[in-house]
Amino acid sequence: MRTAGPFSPIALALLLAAALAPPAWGQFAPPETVEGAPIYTVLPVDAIPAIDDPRFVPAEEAAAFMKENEPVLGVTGGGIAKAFSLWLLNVHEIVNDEIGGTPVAVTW
Amino acid sequence: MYARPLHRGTPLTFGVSGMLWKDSLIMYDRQTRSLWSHVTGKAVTGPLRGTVLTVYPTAMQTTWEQWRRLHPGTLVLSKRGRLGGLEGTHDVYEDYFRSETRLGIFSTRNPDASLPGKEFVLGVSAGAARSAYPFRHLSVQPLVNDRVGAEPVVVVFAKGSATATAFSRRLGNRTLEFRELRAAGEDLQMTDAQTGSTWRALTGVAVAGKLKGERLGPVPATMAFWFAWRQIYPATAVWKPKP
Repeated sequence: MRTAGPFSPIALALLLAAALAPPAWGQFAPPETVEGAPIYTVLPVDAIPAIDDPRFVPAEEAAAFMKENEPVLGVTGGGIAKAFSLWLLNVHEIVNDEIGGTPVAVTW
Repeated sequence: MYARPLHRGTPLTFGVSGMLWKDSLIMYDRQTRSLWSHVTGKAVTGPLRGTVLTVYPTAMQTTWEQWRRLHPGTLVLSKRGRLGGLEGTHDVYEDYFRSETRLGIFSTRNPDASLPGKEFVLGVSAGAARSAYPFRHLSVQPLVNDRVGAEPVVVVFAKGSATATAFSRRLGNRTLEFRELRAAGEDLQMTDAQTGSTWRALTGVAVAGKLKGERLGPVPATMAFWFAWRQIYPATAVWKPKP
C-alpha cells in the first residue's frame, strides 16, 4: 500500500500542464469528503497511465533490468507467480491483469 | 490488490483518477466511472457506490532477490514501455521513503505518536478486524502466533529483506502453532507444534513431515507506513512482543 509522496518533477510538469488545460479536470463529481476526510484532486484523469496490456518476461530475462534489492509486489495463484517492480508501479499505480484466470487489479 | 468484479459480463478495468483520499490513490473504473479508494477497495461515488472489492490475498511486498529465491519460475512485469525505452529504472520516491519526517504530500500529522509516522507495519485484515505488526517489534520477535479478530494467524518476518507476511493458522479442523523460525540455507523455515512438520515460512508450504504438501491459507496483509495505516484504521490493534 503506497501513500503519495511529494511530487516528482514529471508530476509537477503534468500539474502545470493540467492547470493550463482545465477541461481535463472535473470529469467526476466526487463528494468533498468521504468518511470525514477530504478528497483532493491533484492531477488530471489518466495523467498517471494505468497498464491495461501487461507483458511479462521470465525471471532469467528480468535479471537484465531488475536490481537485487529492488522492491517488488509478488503474487501467486493458480500455480503462477508474478512480480511487479514497485519502481515501475510508482509511474503506473494500477495494472489491470489476471492471475491464473482470475482478473485482478494490482494497485500501488 | 483486488479481484476485478464482472460488470455486464466483463471485468472492470481501473484507471488513475488523479484524486487522493487519506494520502492515497482514488481509482476509477472505465465502465461506470465510479470512484474507488485503493486502500479500502470501496466505491465512494458513482453507479457502483457502496460496492466493496474483494482483496486478492496472496500479494506480498519483498525484494526482487528474495522473491526470485521463493519462486524461481516467476514471471516479471516487463519494463519495456510503449516507446521502447525502459521505465521504472529507479525509485522516484527514494527521498520520500528515506525521510523520517515527511508524511504524505500534504504533510499529514501522525495520528498516533506511540509509533513513528514512518515506521513500517504489516497491516493484517480478517473480517472487520485489523492488526498492525511494527517492523521494529518484528525484528525482535520475527515469528508471531496471534489472532486478528477471530482468525488465528502467523506473522513471519525476514529481517535481511525486510519482508513480512501472514498466513492463517487454520488447517482443516486444526489450529496450528508455529515455532523455531530458522535459516535453512537461503530459506527460512518453521515447525508446527502439533505435528512437528517443517514449513517454508515465507510461502506457507509444508516441505517435510506429516503435513508435507499442505499449504497455509493466505490472509490479506499489506506493508504500510504507520501514519497511513492508522489514519485509515483508527481502531487497529497494534502487536507488541510480550516482555
